[in-house]
Amino acid sequence: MDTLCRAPVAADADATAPAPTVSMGAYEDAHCMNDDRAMVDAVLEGRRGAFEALVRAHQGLCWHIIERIVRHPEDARELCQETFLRVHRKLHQYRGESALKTWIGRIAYSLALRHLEKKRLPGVAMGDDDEAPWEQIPDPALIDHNYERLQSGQALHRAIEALPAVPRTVLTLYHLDELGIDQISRITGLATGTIKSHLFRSRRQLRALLESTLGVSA
Amino acid sequence: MSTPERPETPPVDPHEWQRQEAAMRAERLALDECDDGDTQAYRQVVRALRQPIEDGLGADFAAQMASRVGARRSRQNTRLPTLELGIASVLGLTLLCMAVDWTLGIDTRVWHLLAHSPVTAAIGNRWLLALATCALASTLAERLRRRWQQVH
Repeated sequence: MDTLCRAPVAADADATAPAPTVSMGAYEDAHCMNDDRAMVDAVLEGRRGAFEALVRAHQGLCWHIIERIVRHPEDARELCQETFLRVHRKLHQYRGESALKTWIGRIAYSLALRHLEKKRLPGVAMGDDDEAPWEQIPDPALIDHNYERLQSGQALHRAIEALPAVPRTVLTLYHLDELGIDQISRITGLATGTIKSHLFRSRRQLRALLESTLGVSA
Repeated sequence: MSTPERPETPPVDPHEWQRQEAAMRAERLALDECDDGDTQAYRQVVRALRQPIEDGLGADFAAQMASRVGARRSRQNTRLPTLELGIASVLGLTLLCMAVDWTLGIDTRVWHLLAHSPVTAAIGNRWLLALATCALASTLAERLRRRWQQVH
Protein backbone atom coordinates (compact mmCIF):
# COMPACT_ATOMS: atom_id res chain seq x y z
CA MET A 1 0.00 0.00 0.00
CA ASP A 2 2.91 2.27 0.58
CA THR A 3 3.59 2.55 -3.10
CA LEU A 4 0.18 4.02 -3.81
CA CYS A 5 -0.53 7.70 -4.08
CA ARG A 6 -2.45 8.96 -1.08
CA ALA A 7 -4.31 12.13 -0.29
CA PRO A 8 -1.51 14.20 1.21
CA VAL A 9 -1.70 16.11 4.44
CA ALA A 10 0.50 19.16 4.41
CA ALA A 11 3.24 18.87 7.01
CA ASP A 12 2.62 22.38 8.20
CA ALA A 13 -1.15 22.05 8.25
CA ASP A 14 -2.86 23.57 11.23
CA ALA A 15 -4.86 20.71 12.66
CA THR A 16 -7.38 23.01 14.25
CA ALA A 17 -7.91 25.34 11.31
CA PRO A 18 -10.89 24.81 9.05
CA ALA A 19 -9.75 22.93 6.02
CA PRO A 20 -11.39 22.28 2.70
CA THR A 21 -12.86 18.87 2.14
CA VAL A 22 -10.12 16.52 1.05
CA SER A 23 -10.47 16.20 -2.70
CA MET A 24 -8.38 13.41 -4.15
CA GLY A 25 -9.25 14.39 -7.69
CA ALA A 26 -6.79 17.24 -7.39
CA TYR A 27 -4.12 14.92 -6.06
CA GLU A 28 -4.30 12.36 -8.82
CA ASP A 29 -1.41 14.14 -10.35
CA ALA A 30 0.47 13.40 -13.50
CA HIS A 31 3.20 11.54 -11.65
CA CYS A 32 0.80 9.07 -10.09
CA MET A 33 -1.09 8.58 -13.35
CA ASN A 34 2.15 8.08 -15.28
CA ASP A 35 3.19 5.38 -12.82
CA ASP A 36 -0.16 3.71 -13.31
CA ARG A 37 0.14 3.91 -17.09
CA ALA A 38 3.63 2.45 -17.01
CA MET A 39 2.48 -0.39 -14.77
CA VAL A 40 -0.51 -1.16 -17.00
CA ASP A 41 1.61 -1.05 -20.16
CA ALA A 42 4.10 -3.43 -18.60
CA VAL A 43 1.33 -5.92 -17.81
CA LEU A 44 -0.23 -5.58 -21.26
CA GLU A 45 3.16 -6.16 -22.87
CA GLY A 46 3.46 -9.31 -20.78
CA ARG A 47 6.63 -8.23 -18.98
CA ARG A 48 7.84 -10.70 -16.40
CA GLY A 49 6.76 -9.82 -12.87
CA ALA A 50 4.60 -6.88 -13.97
CA PHE A 51 1.28 -8.37 -12.98
CA GLU A 52 2.66 -9.62 -9.70
CA ALA A 53 3.84 -6.07 -8.95
CA LEU A 54 0.41 -4.71 -9.83
CA VAL A 55 -1.30 -7.18 -7.52
CA ARG A 56 1.15 -6.51 -4.71
CA ALA A 57 0.61 -2.77 -5.01
CA HIS A 58 -3.17 -3.01 -4.85
CA GLN A 59 -4.01 -6.15 -2.89
CA GLY A 60 -4.22 -4.22 0.40
CA LEU A 61 -6.86 -1.84 -0.90
CA CYS A 62 -8.72 -4.70 -2.54
CA TRP A 63 -8.71 -6.67 0.71
CA HIS A 64 -9.87 -3.66 2.73
CA ILE A 65 -12.80 -3.01 0.44
CA ILE A 66 -13.94 -6.61 0.13
CA GLU A 67 -13.31 -7.67 3.72
CA ARG A 68 -15.11 -4.62 5.06
CA ILE A 69 -18.15 -5.45 2.96
CA VAL A 70 -18.44 -9.23 3.11
CA ARG A 71 -16.81 -9.82 6.53
CA HIS A 72 -16.08 -13.42 5.71
CA PRO A 73 -12.37 -14.25 5.21
CA GLU A 74 -12.87 -17.17 2.84
CA ASP A 75 -15.36 -15.31 0.67
CA ALA A 76 -13.15 -12.22 0.77
CA ARG A 77 -10.13 -14.20 -0.44
CA GLU A 78 -12.10 -15.69 -3.32
CA LEU A 79 -13.48 -12.30 -4.27
CA CYS A 80 -10.00 -10.79 -4.21
CA GLN A 81 -8.85 -13.50 -6.59
CA GLU A 82 -11.84 -12.89 -8.81
CA THR A 83 -11.14 -9.16 -8.74
CA PHE A 84 -7.58 -9.54 -9.97
CA LEU A 85 -8.55 -12.09 -12.60
CA ARG A 86 -11.09 -9.58 -13.86
CA VAL A 87 -8.52 -6.79 -13.66
CA HIS A 88 -6.18 -8.83 -15.83
CA ARG A 89 -8.92 -9.65 -18.31
CA LYS A 90 -10.16 -6.06 -18.59
CA LEU A 91 -6.88 -4.20 -18.22
CA HIS A 92 -6.82 -3.28 -21.90
CA GLN A 93 -9.95 -1.23 -21.19
CA TYR A 94 -8.16 0.95 -18.63
CA ARG A 95 -7.91 4.37 -20.23
CA GLY A 96 -6.06 6.19 -17.47
CA GLU A 97 -8.96 8.54 -16.81
CA SER A 98 -8.71 7.79 -13.10
CA ALA A 99 -6.03 6.35 -10.85
CA LEU A 100 -5.49 2.64 -11.28
CA LYS A 101 -6.30 1.99 -7.63
CA THR A 102 -9.67 3.69 -8.12
CA TRP A 103 -10.35 1.54 -11.17
CA ILE A 104 -9.38 -1.65 -9.34
CA GLY A 105 -11.23 -0.56 -6.21
CA ARG A 106 -14.37 -0.05 -8.26
CA ILE A 107 -14.18 -3.63 -9.55
CA ALA A 108 -13.58 -4.98 -6.04
CA TYR A 109 -16.45 -2.94 -4.61
CA SER A 110 -18.90 -4.05 -7.31
CA LEU A 111 -18.00 -7.71 -6.89
CA ALA A 112 -18.28 -7.53 -3.10
CA LEU A 113 -21.60 -5.75 -3.16
CA ARG A 114 -23.00 -8.18 -5.73
CA HIS A 115 -21.82 -11.06 -3.56
CA LEU A 116 -23.55 -9.51 -0.55
CA GLU A 117 -26.78 -9.04 -2.46
CA LYS A 118 -26.75 -12.65 -3.62
CA LYS A 119 -25.82 -14.13 -0.28
CA ARG A 120 -27.80 -12.11 2.21
CA LEU A 121 -30.76 -10.60 0.52
CA PRO A 122 -31.95 -12.71 -2.38
CA GLY A 123 -34.61 -10.91 -4.32
CA VAL A 124 -34.32 -7.63 -2.42
CA ALA A 125 -33.81 -4.72 -4.77
CA MET A 126 -32.18 -1.43 -3.89
CA GLY A 127 -34.50 1.46 -4.58
CA ASP A 128 -33.24 4.89 -5.49
CA ASP A 129 -34.72 6.50 -2.43
CA ASP A 130 -34.35 3.77 0.15
CA GLU A 131 -31.02 3.00 1.70
CA ALA A 132 -30.05 -0.65 1.53
CA PRO A 133 -29.56 -2.32 4.93
CA TRP A 134 -25.79 -2.29 4.48
CA GLU A 135 -25.88 1.47 4.06
CA GLN A 136 -27.98 2.33 7.06
CA ILE A 137 -26.43 3.78 10.18
CA PRO A 138 -28.01 2.04 13.18
CA ASP A 139 -29.77 3.99 15.85
CA PRO A 140 -27.27 5.31 18.45
CA ALA A 141 -29.42 3.95 21.24
CA LEU A 142 -29.08 0.51 19.71
CA ILE A 143 -25.31 0.80 19.60
CA ASP A 144 -25.26 2.04 23.20
CA HIS A 145 -27.48 -0.82 24.23
CA ASN A 146 -25.26 -3.35 22.48
CA TYR A 147 -22.05 -1.99 23.87
CA GLU A 148 -22.91 -0.38 27.18
CA ARG A 149 -21.29 -3.25 29.04
CA LEU A 150 -18.01 -2.99 27.25
CA GLN A 151 -15.50 -1.11 29.32
CA SER A 152 -12.37 -1.22 27.24
CA GLY A 153 -10.90 0.17 24.04
CA GLN A 154 -12.27 -2.91 22.31
CA ALA A 155 -15.65 -1.19 22.34
CA LEU A 156 -14.69 1.11 19.49
CA HIS A 157 -13.33 -1.70 17.37
CA ARG A 158 -16.42 -3.78 17.94
CA ALA A 159 -18.62 -0.81 17.16
CA ILE A 160 -16.72 -0.26 13.92
CA GLU A 161 -17.18 -3.93 13.08
CA ALA A 162 -20.89 -3.61 13.87
CA LEU A 163 -21.38 -0.77 11.40
CA PRO A 164 -23.20 -1.62 8.17
CA ALA A 165 -21.02 -2.57 5.22
CA VAL A 166 -21.00 0.67 3.26
CA PRO A 167 -20.30 3.15 6.10
CA ARG A 168 -17.66 0.77 7.45
CA THR A 169 -16.00 0.57 4.05
CA VAL A 170 -16.16 4.33 3.55
CA LEU A 171 -14.55 4.93 6.97
CA THR A 172 -11.77 2.44 6.22
CA LEU A 173 -11.02 3.89 2.80
CA TYR A 174 -10.97 7.42 4.20
CA HIS A 175 -8.95 6.84 7.36
CA LEU A 176 -6.86 3.72 6.79
CA ASP A 177 -6.24 3.92 3.06
CA GLU A 178 -6.28 7.71 3.18
CA LEU A 179 -8.31 8.07 0.01
CA GLY A 180 -10.10 11.32 -0.69
CA ILE A 181 -13.86 11.69 -0.85
CA ASP A 182 -13.71 12.05 -4.65
CA GLN A 183 -11.83 8.79 -4.98
CA ILE A 184 -14.21 6.97 -2.65
CA SER A 185 -17.03 8.35 -4.74
CA ARG A 186 -15.49 6.86 -7.88
CA ILE A 187 -14.98 3.51 -6.21
CA THR A 188 -18.42 3.21 -4.63
CA GLY A 189 -20.48 5.18 -7.12
CA LEU A 190 -21.99 7.10 -4.20
CA ALA A 191 -22.40 10.86 -4.34
CA THR A 192 -19.76 12.84 -2.47
CA GLY A 193 -22.48 14.29 -0.22
CA THR A 194 -23.60 10.78 0.71
CA ILE A 195 -20.02 9.78 1.54
CA LYS A 196 -19.57 12.90 3.65
CA SER A 197 -22.80 12.09 5.44
CA HIS A 198 -21.66 8.50 6.12
CA LEU A 199 -18.36 9.77 7.50
CA PHE A 200 -19.97 12.44 9.64
CA ARG A 201 -22.72 10.28 11.13
CA SER A 202 -20.53 7.25 11.74
CA ARG A 203 -17.79 9.24 13.45
CA ARG A 204 -20.28 11.16 15.56
CA GLN A 205 -21.90 7.91 16.69
CA LEU A 206 -18.56 6.30 17.44
CA ARG A 207 -17.64 9.31 19.53
CA ALA A 208 -20.96 9.11 21.35
CA LEU A 209 -20.28 5.44 22.03
CA LEU A 210 -16.82 6.28 23.31
CA GLU A 211 -18.25 8.86 25.69
CA SER A 212 -20.94 6.57 26.97
CA THR A 213 -18.79 3.48 27.47
CA LEU A 214 -15.35 4.80 28.26
CA GLY A 215 -16.35 7.94 30.08
CA VAL A 216 -14.61 10.37 27.74
CA SER A 217 -16.03 13.81 28.25
CA ALA A 218 -17.07 15.92 25.31
CA MET B 1 -19.59 7.92 -11.77
CA SER B 2 -21.25 9.73 -8.90
CA THR B 3 -24.95 9.37 -8.41
CA PRO B 4 -27.15 12.41 -7.79
CA GLU B 5 -27.44 13.64 -4.22
CA ARG B 6 -30.27 12.06 -2.32
CA PRO B 7 -32.72 14.66 -1.10
CA GLU B 8 -33.03 12.94 2.28
CA THR B 9 -29.28 12.95 2.95
CA PRO B 10 -29.11 14.50 6.41
CA PRO B 11 -27.20 17.77 6.71
CA VAL B 12 -23.67 17.75 8.06
CA ASP B 13 -22.99 20.18 10.90
CA PRO B 14 -20.04 22.17 9.47
CA HIS B 15 -18.49 22.93 12.88
CA GLU B 16 -18.55 19.34 14.04
CA TRP B 17 -17.31 18.23 10.62
CA GLN B 18 -14.34 20.54 11.04
CA ARG B 19 -13.60 19.01 14.44
CA GLN B 20 -13.71 15.54 12.92
CA GLU B 21 -11.40 16.57 10.08
CA ALA B 22 -9.03 18.33 12.46
CA ALA B 23 -8.78 15.14 14.52
CA MET B 24 -8.12 13.16 11.36
CA ARG B 25 -5.31 15.50 10.29
CA ALA B 26 -3.83 15.59 13.78
CA GLU B 27 -3.66 11.79 13.86
CA ARG B 28 -2.14 11.57 10.38
CA LEU B 29 0.52 14.07 11.35
CA ALA B 30 0.95 12.54 14.82
CA LEU B 31 0.54 15.93 16.48
CA ASP B 32 0.69 16.30 20.25
CA GLU B 33 -2.57 15.84 22.08
CA CYS B 34 -3.36 19.35 23.22
CA ASP B 35 -6.78 19.68 21.66
CA ASP B 36 -10.13 20.35 23.24
CA GLY B 37 -12.21 17.48 24.59
CA ASP B 38 -14.28 17.09 21.45
CA THR B 39 -11.27 16.76 19.21
CA GLN B 40 -9.59 14.42 21.70
CA ALA B 41 -12.57 12.08 21.56
CA TYR B 42 -12.54 12.21 17.78
CA ARG B 43 -8.82 11.50 17.76
CA GLN B 44 -9.48 8.29 19.68
CA VAL B 45 -12.11 7.36 17.11
CA VAL B 46 -9.72 8.15 14.25
CA ARG B 47 -6.96 6.13 15.94
CA ALA B 48 -9.26 3.13 16.09
CA LEU B 49 -10.22 3.62 12.45
CA ARG B 50 -6.57 3.74 11.41
CA GLN B 51 -5.72 0.42 13.04
CA PRO B 52 -4.41 -1.93 10.33
CA ILE B 53 -6.74 -4.70 9.26
CA GLU B 54 -5.26 -8.18 9.38
CA ASP B 55 -4.24 -9.17 5.86
CA GLY B 56 -6.01 -12.39 5.04
CA LEU B 57 -4.46 -12.81 1.60
CA GLY B 58 -1.04 -14.03 2.61
CA ALA B 59 2.41 -12.95 1.51
CA ASP B 60 2.40 -15.07 -1.63
CA PHE B 61 -0.98 -13.91 -2.92
CA ALA B 62 0.50 -11.74 -5.67
CA ALA B 63 2.80 -14.53 -6.84
CA GLN B 64 -0.08 -17.00 -6.86
CA MET B 65 -2.24 -14.64 -8.90
CA ALA B 66 0.58 -14.02 -11.36
CA SER B 67 1.16 -17.74 -11.88
CA ARG B 68 -2.57 -18.34 -12.24
CA VAL B 69 -2.85 -15.64 -14.88
CA GLY B 70 0.32 -16.90 -16.56
CA ALA B 71 -1.10 -20.41 -16.79
CA ARG B 72 -4.31 -19.08 -18.28
CA ARG B 73 -2.39 -17.00 -20.79
CA SER B 74 -0.29 -19.95 -21.91
CA ARG B 75 -3.45 -22.03 -22.35
CA GLN B 76 -4.87 -19.29 -24.55
CA ASN B 77 -1.64 -19.05 -26.48
CA THR B 78 -1.79 -22.73 -27.27
CA ARG B 79 -5.26 -22.24 -28.67
CA LEU B 80 -4.10 -19.65 -31.20
CA PRO B 81 -2.07 -22.11 -33.32
CA THR B 82 -5.12 -24.39 -33.29
CA LEU B 83 -7.12 -21.62 -34.91
CA GLU B 84 -4.38 -20.90 -37.39
CA LEU B 85 -4.24 -24.60 -38.17
CA GLY B 86 -8.01 -24.54 -38.72
CA ILE B 87 -7.76 -21.70 -41.21
CA ALA B 88 -4.94 -23.43 -43.04
CA SER B 89 -6.97 -26.64 -43.16
CA VAL B 90 -10.00 -24.87 -44.60
CA LEU B 91 -7.94 -23.13 -47.23
CA GLY B 92 -6.14 -26.37 -48.06
CA LEU B 93 -9.41 -28.23 -48.33
CA THR B 94 -10.79 -25.56 -50.64
CA LEU B 95 -7.79 -25.82 -52.90
CA LEU B 96 -8.08 -29.59 -52.85
CA CYS B 97 -11.74 -29.39 -53.83
CA MET B 98 -10.88 -27.07 -56.69
CA ALA B 99 -8.11 -29.40 -57.83
CA VAL B 100 -10.39 -32.42 -57.63
CA ASP B 101 -13.05 -30.51 -59.54
CA TRP B 102 -10.55 -29.64 -62.24
CA THR B 103 -9.22 -33.21 -62.41
CA LEU B 104 -12.67 -34.70 -62.56
CA GLY B 105 -13.55 -32.21 -65.21
CA ILE B 106 -11.06 -33.94 -67.49
CA ASP B 107 -12.69 -37.29 -67.08
CA THR B 108 -16.10 -36.56 -68.50
CA ARG B 109 -17.46 -39.92 -67.52
CA VAL B 110 -16.81 -39.30 -63.85
CA TRP B 111 -17.83 -35.71 -64.25
CA HIS B 112 -21.22 -36.78 -65.55
CA LEU B 113 -21.67 -39.08 -62.58
CA LEU B 114 -21.07 -36.26 -60.14
CA ALA B 115 -22.38 -33.39 -62.18
CA HIS B 116 -25.81 -33.54 -60.67
CA SER B 117 -24.55 -33.71 -57.10
CA PRO B 118 -25.51 -30.47 -55.28
CA VAL B 119 -22.16 -30.41 -53.48
CA THR B 120 -20.25 -30.61 -56.70
CA ALA B 121 -22.50 -28.01 -58.23
CA ALA B 122 -21.90 -25.68 -55.33
CA ILE B 123 -18.14 -26.19 -55.45
CA GLY B 124 -18.22 -25.83 -59.16
CA ASN B 125 -19.81 -22.42 -58.88
CA ARG B 126 -16.79 -20.17 -58.52
CA TRP B 127 -18.77 -17.18 -57.32
CA LEU B 128 -20.50 -19.17 -54.61
CA LEU B 129 -17.18 -20.64 -53.58
CA ALA B 130 -15.59 -17.20 -53.41
CA LEU B 131 -18.51 -15.89 -51.33
CA ALA B 132 -18.32 -18.78 -48.88
CA THR B 133 -14.55 -18.37 -48.57
CA CYS B 134 -14.93 -14.65 -47.84
CA ALA B 135 -17.61 -15.28 -45.21
CA LEU B 136 -15.54 -17.97 -43.60
CA ALA B 137 -12.39 -15.87 -43.61
CA SER B 138 -14.27 -12.91 -42.14
CA THR B 139 -15.75 -15.00 -39.34
CA LEU B 140 -12.43 -16.56 -38.49
CA ALA B 141 -10.67 -13.20 -38.57
CA GLU B 142 -13.24 -11.77 -36.13
CA ARG B 143 -12.82 -14.72 -33.78
CA LEU B 144 -9.07 -14.34 -33.95
CA ARG B 145 -9.34 -10.62 -33.20
CA ARG B 146 -11.53 -11.26 -30.14
CA ARG B 147 -9.23 -13.94 -28.82
CA TRP B 148 -6.25 -11.69 -29.37
CA GLN B 149 -7.96 -8.95 -27.34
CA GLN B 150 -8.68 -11.38 -24.52
CA VAL B 151 -5.09 -12.53 -24.41
CA HIS B 152 -3.70 -8.99 -24.45
